[in-house]
Amino acid sequence: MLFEDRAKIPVEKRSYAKYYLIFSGLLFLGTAWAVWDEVRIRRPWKEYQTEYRELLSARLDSLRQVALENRDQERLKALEDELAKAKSALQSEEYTKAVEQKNDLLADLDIATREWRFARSRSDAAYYQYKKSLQTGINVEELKAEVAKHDADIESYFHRMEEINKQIALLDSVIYKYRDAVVRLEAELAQINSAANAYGLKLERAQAAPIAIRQVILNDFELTPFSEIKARIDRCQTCHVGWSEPLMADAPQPFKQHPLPELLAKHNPENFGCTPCHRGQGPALTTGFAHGEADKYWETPILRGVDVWASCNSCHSNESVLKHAPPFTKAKQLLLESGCFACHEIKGYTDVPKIGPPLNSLPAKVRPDWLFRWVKNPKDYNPHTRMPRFQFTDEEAEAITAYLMKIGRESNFQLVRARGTFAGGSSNRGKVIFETIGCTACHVAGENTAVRTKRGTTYDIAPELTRVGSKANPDWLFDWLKNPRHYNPDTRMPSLRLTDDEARHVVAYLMTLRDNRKLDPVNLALDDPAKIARGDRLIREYGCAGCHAIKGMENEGKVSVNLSDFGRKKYEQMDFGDTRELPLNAEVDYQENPDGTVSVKRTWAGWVYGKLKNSRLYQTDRISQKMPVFGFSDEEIRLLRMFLTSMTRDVPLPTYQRAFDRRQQEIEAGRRLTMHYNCVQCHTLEDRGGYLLASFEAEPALGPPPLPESQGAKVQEQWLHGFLKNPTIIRPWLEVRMPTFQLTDAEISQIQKYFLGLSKQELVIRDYASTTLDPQYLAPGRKLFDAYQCLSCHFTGRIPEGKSFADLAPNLALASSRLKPEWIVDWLRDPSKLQPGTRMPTYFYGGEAPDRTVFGGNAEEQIKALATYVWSIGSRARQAPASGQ
Amino acid sequence: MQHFIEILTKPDNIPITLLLVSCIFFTWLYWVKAKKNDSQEMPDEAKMDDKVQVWPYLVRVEFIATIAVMALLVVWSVFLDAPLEEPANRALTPNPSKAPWYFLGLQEMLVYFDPWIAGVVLPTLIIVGLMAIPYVDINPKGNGYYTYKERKFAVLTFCFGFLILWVSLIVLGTFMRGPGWNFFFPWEKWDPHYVAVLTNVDLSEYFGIPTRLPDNTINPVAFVFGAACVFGFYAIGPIYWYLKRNDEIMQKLGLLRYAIVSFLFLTMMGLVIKIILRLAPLMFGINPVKYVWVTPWFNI
Repeated sequence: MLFEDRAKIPVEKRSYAKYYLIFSGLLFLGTAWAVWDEVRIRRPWKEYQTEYRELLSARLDSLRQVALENRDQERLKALEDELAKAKSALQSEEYTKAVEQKNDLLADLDIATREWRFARSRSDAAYYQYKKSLQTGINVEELKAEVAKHDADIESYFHRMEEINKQIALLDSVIYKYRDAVVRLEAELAQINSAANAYGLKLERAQAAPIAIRQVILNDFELTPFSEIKARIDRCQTCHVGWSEPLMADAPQPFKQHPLPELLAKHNPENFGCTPCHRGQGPALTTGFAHGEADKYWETPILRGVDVWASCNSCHSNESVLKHAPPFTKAKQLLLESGCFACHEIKGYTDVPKIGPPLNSLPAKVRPDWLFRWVKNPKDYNPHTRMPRFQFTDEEAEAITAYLMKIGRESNFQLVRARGTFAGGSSNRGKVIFETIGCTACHVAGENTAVRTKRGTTYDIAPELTRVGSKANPDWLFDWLKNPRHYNPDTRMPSLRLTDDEARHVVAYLMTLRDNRKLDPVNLALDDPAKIARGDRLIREYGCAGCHAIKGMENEGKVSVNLSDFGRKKYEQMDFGDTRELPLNAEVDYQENPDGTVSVKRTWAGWVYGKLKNSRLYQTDRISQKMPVFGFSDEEIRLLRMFLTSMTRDVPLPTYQRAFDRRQQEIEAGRRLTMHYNCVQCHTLEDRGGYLLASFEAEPALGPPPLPESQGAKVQEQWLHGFLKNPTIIRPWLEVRMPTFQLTDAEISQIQKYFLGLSKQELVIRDYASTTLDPQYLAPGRKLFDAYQCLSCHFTGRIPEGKSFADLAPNLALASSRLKPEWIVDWLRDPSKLQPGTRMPTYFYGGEAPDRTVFGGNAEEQIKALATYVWSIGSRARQAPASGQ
Repeated sequence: MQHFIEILTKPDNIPITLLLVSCIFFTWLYWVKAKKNDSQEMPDEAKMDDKVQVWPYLVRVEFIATIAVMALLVVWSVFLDAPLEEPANRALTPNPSKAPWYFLGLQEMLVYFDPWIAGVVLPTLIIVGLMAIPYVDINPKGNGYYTYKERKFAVLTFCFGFLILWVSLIVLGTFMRGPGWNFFFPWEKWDPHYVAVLTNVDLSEYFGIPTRLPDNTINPVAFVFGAACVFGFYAIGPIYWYLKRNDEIMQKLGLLRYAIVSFLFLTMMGLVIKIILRLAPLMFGINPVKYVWVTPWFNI
């Protein structure tokens, strides 16, 4: 054996050279490996940056080649020839001699300048001595003479310099004669080459870009869990080098350009970083760790897919509409309309009106058996109702019905009209009214589901009326249609100003919409006090008062958990009930198995998906659950889950958040209000809504007009107030009606401020009626009004006969009482900017007037004249109001 | 088993896996050498009478060993990164929350005793006991060579105290204590929702003596019973002295040394007995023992 042989050698004689060599060799190799691992293997970004540089260079180079080929070859040739000629002229004797002479003169000038400077310095020094001598009285005259001598020197050198400069100027005129030709030609050549040169410059810069870590440091971004200021460091751009390069729009990751440059314009990654929105581990530089998915302890891994929009909520939690984040806006809409805040406390949703109707006077409206069936399963009567299913047993539903009927009997609601007033309408005419005046904006009845489809939610915003004939009491319905606020003072259902006859027709039509299914008769004991008491308990327990006003339950709190930090909940804190476990690497979070069981991934996302899919999914024989089943679609679940992801207390410090100033608050209040009253069902507002337009696809102009963001700048505050109080007809050709919402002055003021806020205007009190017109613009205005044929679409006063409604534009006689004078000017200047898609043509395209006879074709003057004239039409009409408007 | 391998190969657990392997190896090495020495007249080490200078003959070997260890550590550092866990958050603490690995034995003791005993008394006794060893060890044999025969008590006590009580408790705490400090067998997954049976009763209750009276004060009978058990256990020391007082070894040791050794030894054994009382009944479907002696100040 090796070791036994070795043991025989005396210790002093043993050689360890071999071991030393082996181990130090291993140490060397190990160290070399560690260095390689450190500088190369663990820094894949070096490779990425090299690869990116090549990719970008290749793209820029090919663009440069294209630019070179696209030059005007003939002109290029001519210019190059001329340039060569001009350059060869530089060899001529006249030029070379002049340059030579100039160089000699410049040398002389240098000498003369120096002497002049020195003379000045000597003079200053002598002057100092002279001044000093004045104090002592010694050598005064002598020194004075010296100063004078130096001053004479200064003079003579200065003359010399002037002389030389004159000579140089003479030579320059010769020299520049030659040189100017060259410079001019070179400039022209550069002009032709500019495109190619720009690419060349970019190419140079791309190739010179250093291989380096690119990081953004946010020193005071957020707080640690211990409330200390924590910096955030993002190095994402080290690998994602092409995020801002439009040439990389189709490049493979990690070089691809960011898909939303307009969003980045507001959140510049160069000083905002990437992780504030995308999450992930900013300082890490390898894929798995940077995205935070390979690091199981990293609490905020990258947000993928729609989840990334959750980050908007960190800074914009107060806003419900974000222009550049449609999924975020949709999620907030879902949250608001589904009423999550009725049971859960959610930051920013503490002061929202109840989404359901009050349940205090139900006997006037429905029969107990209908109510019983509804409580048991609302989706059975109306699959698209917002009311979720509580899965009550028959006994529970009966108890709740008993309680509601009891408080209904005690209600003092009375129908104003005698019973039977509703009778006598024609259902056919009712159907026509129902389908034209705008009821379908909110209510679905029968087969017409265009609005629902356009809305794209699984629920309707107002009850579907397909079976209403079997639900509602016609006397109540008549009363309701005539004045919805009589039954429910807080309702969002507006009055459509139906005449008694119209209302009778609509009632007749609605009563034909019956539930034709065969329903099992129910036998309810509604007067049993024990049942009523049990109903009381159940209603409190399940938090019905979160959505509905119920007498005796005005002060009920929220029945479920606070969601304000739900996004930080860990999987360990969640109970998955009896669901099967889906492996973590499964592609889906939730899966319904053929045997009827459900598999859920054991993650936060999996749990939330299952909960929103079926709120009772995790219920077991011991753990009962109260959350009702909503029936959200896959898309809605993902959006709501995205929103829940954002529910954390980890938010950036205020400096990074958008200031929720007065204007923002006013805008947000207006949004909430317009959503509450479903204004967006008809009108397109801030790029959302306008669902009723689905019924007017053939001719959108016959649908409700959109409300552009400039609405506040457009209409007079007084007019808007009056209009919202009592809508008047602006577009007589429309059959769809602007309903009367019976808004309070405070609510109207909120809407005013909302519109004004969107237009970045303040609410000021103005008397539009006393706007003075400049008479010298009136006549030219009139002339232009005819020249530009405004009346081919617009009219003043009565609707011209024989015109298709689709070709009509608003009555200009209303302009002075409705529009703001500044807006008319802006509108005439560029209508499509204020209202994209408008049919109003742009007359002054590019600031030029088509008609050159008035004001010498000065567009601004013409616009002023037109606006003045249009304003004057209404002013005259106001003095003698046109009838029929 | 998949989970167990994951736990075993976690970067911060690898040293403990190595500790286990090296403990077994060195114990085995000791036994082989000690057995050989014990079977011959003169220990192998004594035969090596040839001596050389430390410098350079020892130092050069140590130098090479240093290089070898450095090479190993460098390669190790390439493969295994220092494990960092989530940022500290007082609202969300990790589960299980484990002490540094070398303290896991102490943390494990908290399962069997109240914090005052497991966290203060026993660690103090461990340190005091270790300091006392040179003063109570009167056996001059075994210096510089491997032997078992000549130092049976010392060797067995060490093996028991270090290998069983210290190392295996660390191993238990590292590999088998999961969320909620619940015990998991290697083939079980660490389930954060695991529900353990909690049916511990005090020893006196086996004999129908409730520990507390209806007004929640301690039952004097149970108190006396518990005290009797504990003092009875420690009485083994004096009784053994009385029986063996004439033995040569006892004479040499003297009463004071004997008292110290027997107290420390019995305390060590008491720890094990308590663990057995807690764990063994589970195998027979009996309620495990919670405390032997409950007092208003501490529980044993």
